[in-house]
Amino acid sequence: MVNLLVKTSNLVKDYVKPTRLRVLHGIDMELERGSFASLIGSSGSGKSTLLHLLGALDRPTEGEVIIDSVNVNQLTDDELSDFRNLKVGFIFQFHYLLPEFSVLENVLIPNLIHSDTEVPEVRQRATELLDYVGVGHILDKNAGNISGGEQQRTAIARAFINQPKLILADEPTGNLDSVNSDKVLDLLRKINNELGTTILLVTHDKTLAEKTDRIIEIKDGRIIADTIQNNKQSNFVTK
Amino acid sequence: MRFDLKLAARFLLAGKTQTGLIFVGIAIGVAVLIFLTFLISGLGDDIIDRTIGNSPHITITREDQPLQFAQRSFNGRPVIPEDASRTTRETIDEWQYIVRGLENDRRIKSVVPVADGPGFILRGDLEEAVAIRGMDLEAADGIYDISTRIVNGSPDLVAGTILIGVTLAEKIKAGPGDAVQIRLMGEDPESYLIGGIFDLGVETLNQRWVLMNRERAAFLLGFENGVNVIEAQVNEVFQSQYVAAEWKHLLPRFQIDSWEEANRQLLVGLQSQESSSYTIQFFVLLAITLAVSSVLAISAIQRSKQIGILKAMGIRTRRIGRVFLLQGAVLGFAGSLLGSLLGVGLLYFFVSVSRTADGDPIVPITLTVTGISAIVLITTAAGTLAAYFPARRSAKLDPIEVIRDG
Repeated sequence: MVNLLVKTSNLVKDYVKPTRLRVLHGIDMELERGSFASLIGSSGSGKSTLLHLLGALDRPTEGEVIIDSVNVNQLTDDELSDFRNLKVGFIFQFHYLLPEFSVLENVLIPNLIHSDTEVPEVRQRATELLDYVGVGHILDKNAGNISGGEQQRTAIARAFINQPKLILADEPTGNLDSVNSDKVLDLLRKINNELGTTILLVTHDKTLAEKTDRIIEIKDGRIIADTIQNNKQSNFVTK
Repeated sequence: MRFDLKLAARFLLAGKTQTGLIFVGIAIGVAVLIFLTFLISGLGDDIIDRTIGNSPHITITREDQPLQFAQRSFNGRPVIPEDASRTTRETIDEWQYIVRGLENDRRIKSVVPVADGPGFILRGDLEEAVAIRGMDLEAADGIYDISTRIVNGSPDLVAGTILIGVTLAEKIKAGPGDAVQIRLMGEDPESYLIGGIFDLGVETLNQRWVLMNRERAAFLLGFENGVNVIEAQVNEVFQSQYVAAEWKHLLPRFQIDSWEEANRQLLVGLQSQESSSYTIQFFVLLAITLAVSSVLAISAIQRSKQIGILKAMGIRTRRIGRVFLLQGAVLGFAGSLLGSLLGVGLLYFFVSVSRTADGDPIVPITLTVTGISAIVLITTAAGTLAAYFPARRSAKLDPIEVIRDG
């Protein structure tokens, strides 16, 4: 029996400014729990828009997004915020660490948003996560004073601190050199394998996408291809 | 809330120069606010104290024809006594009951029954028109503080002894221990001994008042141990007209006047002074508010990436707003605390350098914790209010725009 984490039905997104523009044309997509998939497409194909809808950052014009059995469309703004905080982890091309905080504090922020006060167990988990991603030696360094690779690793640790069901990685290696890109991708693969977290990687880099288990290709707001990689057992469903 | 406060503090500390400048700006503004507020308030209190501090705030007499005496003449000249309206009035027979009632009124702090009338003081060839004031010294001290204002002699008012003002003493060339005569219009003079010379700080009173034992004055004036005036001081000087009005309601047959009714011009002056103080306070607060608002508006733009990612990570919209409101409140509170210290220091400096020849402060200033706390509270509120628009702007920020634009 297929164990779905994400399901979208007839997902449509229009932008009305400056002119009315349909960016997504009825996307139907499903992601199985524990899968590591990539979403590829050229610039303007609608992949980032789809990612924002899947991450509950935006609301669709039509259709619905169901994540972990929750219809995201029906949530209020506050509920959406809480949903993002607890169920989704984001990794962006630009790490967006808060330079006013240390590496460890940055990782703790999603949990502090939820619990308001620092929980010792979470602090321990954050330390372990930073060790896991290979930046455990710079816990107390200011996030603005570490290298790009270290910043992205810290951002990855931050995405996992609340143990979300889904990780959305938007061009996470787009700002890194090839060595660091490989390291980040290996790290995501390792996390997927060991923690079983569902990861959707958005990229325009086909070579990078080929390192994931499944490639969903989007063009002009429509899914045009959905491919399993490396002869892995199917962990996705297409319609 | 703790995390919001931590965010607010970190955002403020991240822009050290910016935060430092606005912090100092608020502190200077508050220092000026405290300095001017307490200076103007001290000036106002000083004027009130000098004007009515040793005067009755409420005067009770019987209604009658006030100019009756003024129409008389002496040696071909019209005689207008010190207070013609009072001197002609009949005695207040039930004065003891009224005094007791006034003393039981918590708003009233001192009550002085007075036997008051016009007369003449004679010494040798010298003769001066005076106001004979018979009162109990202990009660009179509650308003006039006579005992401490005796500059020569002693403040005793035993029968046959009188106290006169320094100006009158000079005019009749008399001092403590000298005998004088006092007579009423058309009556035989009586002899008295000068017990002491007072200086009430008001030329007219120093020149006209002759103080004596109340019973003696009543006898001299023919009041049969009665009084014709009851004077009182209230705790809150600006409440005197309301207290007077209430007593007028209780004693409809009496003339009850308050100092406020008799000093309209002074009141207008004090109100103008108060208005100018409020105007200065308003503009200083406005400057603080605008400064905080502009700094936080810049901060909101500078922190838009952080705000965007925080929202993407699930922080609720109103909490982002709260972070900026907290920044405004922290700036307002911390700045006003420093400003309070500066302002108090400035006042102490001012008081220490501006003194009269006697060494007394030119403007006596009374600092109150309540006053300073109110300024700190108002400035904190202004800082918080100033953060409202930057807070709204930040809260509305769309995380997608931040993520998209990098």
